[in-house]
Amino acid sequence: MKQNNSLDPTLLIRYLEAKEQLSPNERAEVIQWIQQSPENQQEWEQLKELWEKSGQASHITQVDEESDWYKVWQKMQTPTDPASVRKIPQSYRWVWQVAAAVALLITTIWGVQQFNSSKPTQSARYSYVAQDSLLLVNLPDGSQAYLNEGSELSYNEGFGSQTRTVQLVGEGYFEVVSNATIPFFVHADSTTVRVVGTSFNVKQDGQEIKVTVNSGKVAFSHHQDTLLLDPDEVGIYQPGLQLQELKNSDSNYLSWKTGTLRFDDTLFPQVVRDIARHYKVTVQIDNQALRDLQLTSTFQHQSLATVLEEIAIVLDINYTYQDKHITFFYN
Amino acid sequence: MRLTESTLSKIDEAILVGIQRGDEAVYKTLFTEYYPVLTTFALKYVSEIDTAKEVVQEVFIKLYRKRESLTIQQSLKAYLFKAVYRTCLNVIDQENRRSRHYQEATLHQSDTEYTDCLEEAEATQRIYRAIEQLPEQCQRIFTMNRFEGLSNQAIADQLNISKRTVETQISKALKLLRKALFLLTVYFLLGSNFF
Repeated sequence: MKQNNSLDPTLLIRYLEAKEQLSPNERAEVIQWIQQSPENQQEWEQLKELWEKSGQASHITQVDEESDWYKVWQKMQTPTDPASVRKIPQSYRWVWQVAAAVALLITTIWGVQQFNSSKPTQSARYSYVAQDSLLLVNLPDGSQAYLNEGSELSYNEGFGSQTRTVQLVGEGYFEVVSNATIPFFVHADSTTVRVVGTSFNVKQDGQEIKVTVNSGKVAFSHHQDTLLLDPDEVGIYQPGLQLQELKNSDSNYLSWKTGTLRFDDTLFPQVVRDIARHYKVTVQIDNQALRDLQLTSTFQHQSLATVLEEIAIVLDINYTYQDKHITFFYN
Repeated sequence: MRLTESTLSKIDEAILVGIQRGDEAVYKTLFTEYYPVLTTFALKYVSEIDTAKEVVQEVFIKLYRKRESLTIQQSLKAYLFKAVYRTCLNVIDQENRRSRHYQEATLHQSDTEYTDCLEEAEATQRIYRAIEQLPEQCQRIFTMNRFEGLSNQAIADQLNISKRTVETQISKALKLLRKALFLLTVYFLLGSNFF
């Protein structure tokens, strides 16, 4: 037991950094070393903990207790009660002027130091853009974000350690790993979604922002206005209005992600809206009578042509498809 | 100011006298000692570092302004953490003020969750202090990886050294941190009673 086969320490570091980049042999070597003795096991766990926790300490580089102390002391000296302001005798005025000048100098020096020292630790920003297909973003905390085409997700370095904050433009579906100590925030335009662990969809459509909850609870805010949403509830933000809370009537809101369109006695105008959104086409209904039709069918990863063909057969109607525009009509 | 329990340590009592008098040196010592760890703690509740810093500053300013009517139970440390926690809840509540779900949206933690957050913040602070004690080159390489998120290859390129040297230095950093933090646990447990 005492006789440990030694392990190349740099291999352990490469394992911590990106074990998926090691060869199967190298990985086996590390695992074998860990399992060799309880001491190794304990050492490994401590090193791993230090590795993870040290990443969480990075924000402390942005805390400058020396220069902020000065600001705080100034505020402490600012009386809140006007009656307590004392008049300074004329003869002592120069003392205060000198003190103010010294203080200014000190602040300047601190300011310069802070500026210099903040340079090398300036944090990076990570951005993901789903250009012409869906993009799955694996976030550092284990949460996942699926981005719809044309959407963008970004977060700052340090995500997952002290904060979990992302910025979204467009549409994204989030599956958030539960972490009671670090809440997860999604900022979309001027709104914020705050969650602990849940799955939900955020969609920005022009100036409107829609949050649909799949599981768990989310708080959806715009400035002071907050909605607490449960599964199958939708929060809608429109500029100049209070946030609105509705029951989710859109059963296909995740079709962009799942590739599945499900209709269950769905009225034809709704069917047409879902198809238009999913396939990014425009649809026209030529005959008022078509609006009363209902469709029950499920399409999984089907081409638009197949879907149109099936609808035409099932409902006994006709259609034309040209330049991304569909027209439905009776024979 | 009123002390409600006799469990306050002698050091706390001495500090409390300084607090009551408005002694600048005492406030400065307290602030520099607690500002980073309390900011780390506040970040468990608010998302922006600037908000976290403002919360902690506000707690100290209030401590100073209320110094004469202040009641401190337990310890100064317990008082400061609790005050930061309450101020964070106020910030969250203000954000939710006009909400129709005011009650539910307010985040209240159980005692265990609160203690976990506090201990995590303290552990983070201890690691940070230990990193500051690392030898210069070792510290630089380690923080480039852990704080700035650079890959070991990127660090090697930037410093014009081999990737293996980077890995050796990081390994050394971890070993020194382990020595400082895990093999001296008893010391830290004793040390934490002082504040």
